[in-house]
Amino acid sequence: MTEAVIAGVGESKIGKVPELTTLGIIVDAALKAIADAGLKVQDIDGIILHPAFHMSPRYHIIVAETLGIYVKTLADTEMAGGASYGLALERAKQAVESGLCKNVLLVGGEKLATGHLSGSAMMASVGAHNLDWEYPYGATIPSYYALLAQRYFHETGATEADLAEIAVMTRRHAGRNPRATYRDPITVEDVLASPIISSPLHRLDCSLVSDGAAAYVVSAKGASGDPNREVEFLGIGQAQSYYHMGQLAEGAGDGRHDLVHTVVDVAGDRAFAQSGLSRDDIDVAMIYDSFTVTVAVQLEDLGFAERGGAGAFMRDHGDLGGKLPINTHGGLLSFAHPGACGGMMSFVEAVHQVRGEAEDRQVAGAEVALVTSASAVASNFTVSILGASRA
Amino acid sequence: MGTIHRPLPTITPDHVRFWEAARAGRMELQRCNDCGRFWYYPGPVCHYCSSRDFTWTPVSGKGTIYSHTVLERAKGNPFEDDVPITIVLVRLEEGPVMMSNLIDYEPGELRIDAPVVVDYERVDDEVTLPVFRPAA
Ligand SMILES: [Zn+2]
Repeated sequence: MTEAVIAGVGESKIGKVPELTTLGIIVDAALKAIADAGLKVQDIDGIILHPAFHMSPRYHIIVAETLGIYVKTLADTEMAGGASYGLALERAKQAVESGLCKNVLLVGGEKLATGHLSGSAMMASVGAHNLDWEYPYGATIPSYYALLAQRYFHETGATEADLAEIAVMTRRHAGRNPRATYRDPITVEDVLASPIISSPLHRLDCSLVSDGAAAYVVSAKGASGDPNREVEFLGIGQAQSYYHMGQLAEGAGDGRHDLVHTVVDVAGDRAFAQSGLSRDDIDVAMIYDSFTVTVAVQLEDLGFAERGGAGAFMRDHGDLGGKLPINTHGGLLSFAHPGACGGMMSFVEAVHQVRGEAEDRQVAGAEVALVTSASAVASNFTVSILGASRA
Repeated sequence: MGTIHRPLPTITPDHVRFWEAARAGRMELQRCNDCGRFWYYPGPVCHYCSSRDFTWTPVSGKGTIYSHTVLERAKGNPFEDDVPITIVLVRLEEGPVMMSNLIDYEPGELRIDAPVVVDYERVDDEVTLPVFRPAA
């Protein structure tokens, strides 16, 4: 059977990019990923894209047309917010392994920093949260995660200071990344002194609002320019639960999953089972960090940290040289968060890590990386375990 | 708390009865005639057993706070000048959990498990939103 690999990755300039359009940064990331794979544009025969928030539902076709890719045997959108490119990765892998495509391009980009997108426009276009039963009460995206955080505190005894540890460590990683938006170190006190956005979440608990684009190419093993730089899929899983906060709170009625006991464990169990690996085999992890609390529930539900212990885990084990370096590029909290494609940057970093190309951020000897993506208030997750080439 | 500049729900045949009741100062939910459970938000089928046999039934309007947040910054949203806005998840006595606002409360009353009771905020001729206040 054909085995799929991640053959190449690319990122545009990130942060504030007023000089390029959304299409401009998307093309930039796509061409870099295709070149990184040692392929030509004409080798691409599949494309999956999350249309930029204010763009046409046919945006994937427009992007392919702009790049000059005429015939595709897979051309589709993946509109699941932050989880999109984790979900799309599994789809691209299946497309290559089934023979549907040879080289699938996944690309996305947003201009959230300089693109004049209002909060309400984003809510409406991305369908992040419900417009009939929730938005009329003044629920913004941070307030959703704040409701999660407050309940998480109640159930686990964790505190604002515990969540702050996640922001502090993520910033420490960003300090080693010249491309990160924010690099100056912060302390727990800094996080707690930053303004409340929606209690108990402070500004420094929240991810950034950035411009940027990223891309990766999924190809058949051995088909790229340099098989030694191909990154292998060791395991991949996804899970989704509900949508409205009330429904998430009620849970599945099985006593196992609810608002603060997410279904990321289901995605994780599947990925780990496929890989035959254990938690201790993971060298570096990218845990989707739309908010600090998003990281907390995932680290706990995936079994890396004990209940309520995610903040302490991050502080004690999450640094370079620690048991499990987490979000070594600086994450959505400090590197960049250009909307749905922000999660792609975690995959790009994981690829860099297992290829040994992460420069000052390199986890020594990293061969296995775990990457999560998440969306819709911790209801939709993917877990991917990626490995260095065994070519 | 003054009136919030609220983005309004789209009222459809699935839940027009809910909004009619709210306008009249009542909360009515669908109760399943097969499994007996109430569900929220209103919709065409029992969320628990898939039955479409239900009866619109008045509920007590009492519940407890499941979680809460005070929104302080909402730039770019229609209600950005209305902050702070207190958003709660309320577990109704009848079982379902719903998002709403808590109004007219003292600081100590905004806590998980605190008892609350429904009240109504008229927004326009069509929409009256159920909100909650501390139970006396
Ligand atoms: Zn039923």
